[in-house]
Amino acid sequence: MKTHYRFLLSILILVSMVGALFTSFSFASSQTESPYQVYLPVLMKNPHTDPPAYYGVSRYMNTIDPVKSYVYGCQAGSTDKQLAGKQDKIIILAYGQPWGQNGEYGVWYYSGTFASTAVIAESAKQFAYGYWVCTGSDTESTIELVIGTSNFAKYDKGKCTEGSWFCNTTVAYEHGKRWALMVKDVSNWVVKNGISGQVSIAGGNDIEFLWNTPAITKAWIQGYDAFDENRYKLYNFGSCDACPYVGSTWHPPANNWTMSDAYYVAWGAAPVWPIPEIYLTTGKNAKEWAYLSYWGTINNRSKIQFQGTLTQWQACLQRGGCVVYDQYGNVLYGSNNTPEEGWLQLINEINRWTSTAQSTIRWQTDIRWSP
Amino acid sequence: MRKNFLRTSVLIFTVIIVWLLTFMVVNADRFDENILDTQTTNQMMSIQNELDIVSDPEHQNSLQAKLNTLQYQADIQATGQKMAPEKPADICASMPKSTFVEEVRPTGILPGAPGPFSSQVLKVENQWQDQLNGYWMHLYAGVSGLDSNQGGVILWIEDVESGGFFSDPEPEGALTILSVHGTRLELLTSEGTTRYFDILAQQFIPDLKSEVNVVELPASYVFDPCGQDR
Repeated sequence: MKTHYRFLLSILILVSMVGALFTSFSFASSQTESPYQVYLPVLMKNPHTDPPAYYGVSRYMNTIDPVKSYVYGCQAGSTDKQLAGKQDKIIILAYGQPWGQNGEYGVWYYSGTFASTAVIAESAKQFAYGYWVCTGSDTESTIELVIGTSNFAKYDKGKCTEGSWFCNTTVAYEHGKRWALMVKDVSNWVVKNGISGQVSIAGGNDIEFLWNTPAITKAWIQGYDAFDENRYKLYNFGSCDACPYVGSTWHPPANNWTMSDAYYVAWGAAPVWPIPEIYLTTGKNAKEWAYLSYWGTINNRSKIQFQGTLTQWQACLQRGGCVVYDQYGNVLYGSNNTPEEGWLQLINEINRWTSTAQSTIRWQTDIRWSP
Repeated sequence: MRKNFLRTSVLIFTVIIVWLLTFMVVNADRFDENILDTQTTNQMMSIQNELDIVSDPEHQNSLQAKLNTLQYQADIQATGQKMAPEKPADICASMPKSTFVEEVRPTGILPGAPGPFSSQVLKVENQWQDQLNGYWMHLYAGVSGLDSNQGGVILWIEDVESGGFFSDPEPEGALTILSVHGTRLELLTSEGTTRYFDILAQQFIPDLKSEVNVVELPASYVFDPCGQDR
């Protein structure tokens, strides 16, 4: 009899272990289920899945040369081809601040000259094409390619300076419109050339509260929204500067932004999806974004669905100096979260509340300076 | 009797384990596929659930638009996967011809533009750019977005993994570039104190007469799938 009991006990333990093994696969990936559900027979399920195995390499585009763009895309494609199985990544190409010149719209990019939306479109197309060609026999891996600008203008004592362009709601709306039309053009080109099975196109904006007013930033989004035909996502890959969070005293976000403004540019506006900067090793960025989502749920809005996280770990490796020390050499804070650290910080924070919980965040991406 | 029971049980048990392991290995890729499909589906279901709860018509329209976007994206991806053409075998032949001519860049001290970094890292007051020793160099002066007293500069050297963030050793708020002296910059803190930065030495220096060693730049590396410099 004793042996029978021992045998039954072994079976029970084994079944529990096998059950636990399977919860880490797709069975546990639902975003609709609430966290902390208990799975029988024995083990408690983790409130979230593991981070994605690999991160997408995003880039500050210091070049708009189509040849280099093709090479960058090819590099991303070659990487995915070499990795086992189907890859699923998001890649942001950050082109710089919005600008207009001689009736044309585009960016003032990092090398210090103007590039029109037509030139940017060509650069993005070549990146997409390079990715597709260089994935070769891997016909299943996919990327979502985000063509990004920002909401930057330079202010001095509350006034837009002469050296800035993005200074009123009229030009902001028009620029947003032109950006949406450019994204549409690139997306149509991707479809026409048969590469849309592996590459999806979206717009993006690095929205930072310290850079501009809510009125101008929202006007840009409205311009984009009016011409995106409800087809092309707009990723906000910015920051929630000085947003309140659990553990802080309550204060409004930076630069006269309200929580309502912050929510609008993160999730409230129709085309917007967030890929927030989760840079700080202290976890403050993750706490700010998570609280913004919670704020939505207690203010007659829905929770924010986070699509991914953006870190700058590679850029920090390239340039060093992402850690700030006090006068005694002690680390005060770092802005060099690894992609996995950023992802884990955000998912843990949003799972603080049932109303904002997600069991997974699809992507993690990390930005670098080109090359 | 008891021995037979144990033998049979162990056999059944082994068969189940072997079956489970085989199932997992054979279906490893399929699980990945399921995750992808499940993610989009669950995302749509989750938004649909929120749509049922939210009462504000404007927010409802916004969520509906997000659903439409996801649907459109899924549709063109599915079509693209079915209709994908043959890929070119030669990745170099697919590279576009180089006809790009860059506009002439302004040099010297320029009004503040966002560098390739977040305002959390540095809120820029102004910048300097020029070509030194064959490299395009950009120096942004300003203040940390997280600490309004911590001035600093970021030196970005194109195509080379060098440069970086340099904190003002005696922080007094935002730094602004005032003038250029060869390869050295004169900066002003928001308190009105002067600072000097040597671009090639990549460090703050006490005065313009200071002698410091130039930082040797590493060789630039550009991924080139066709094995030639471009």
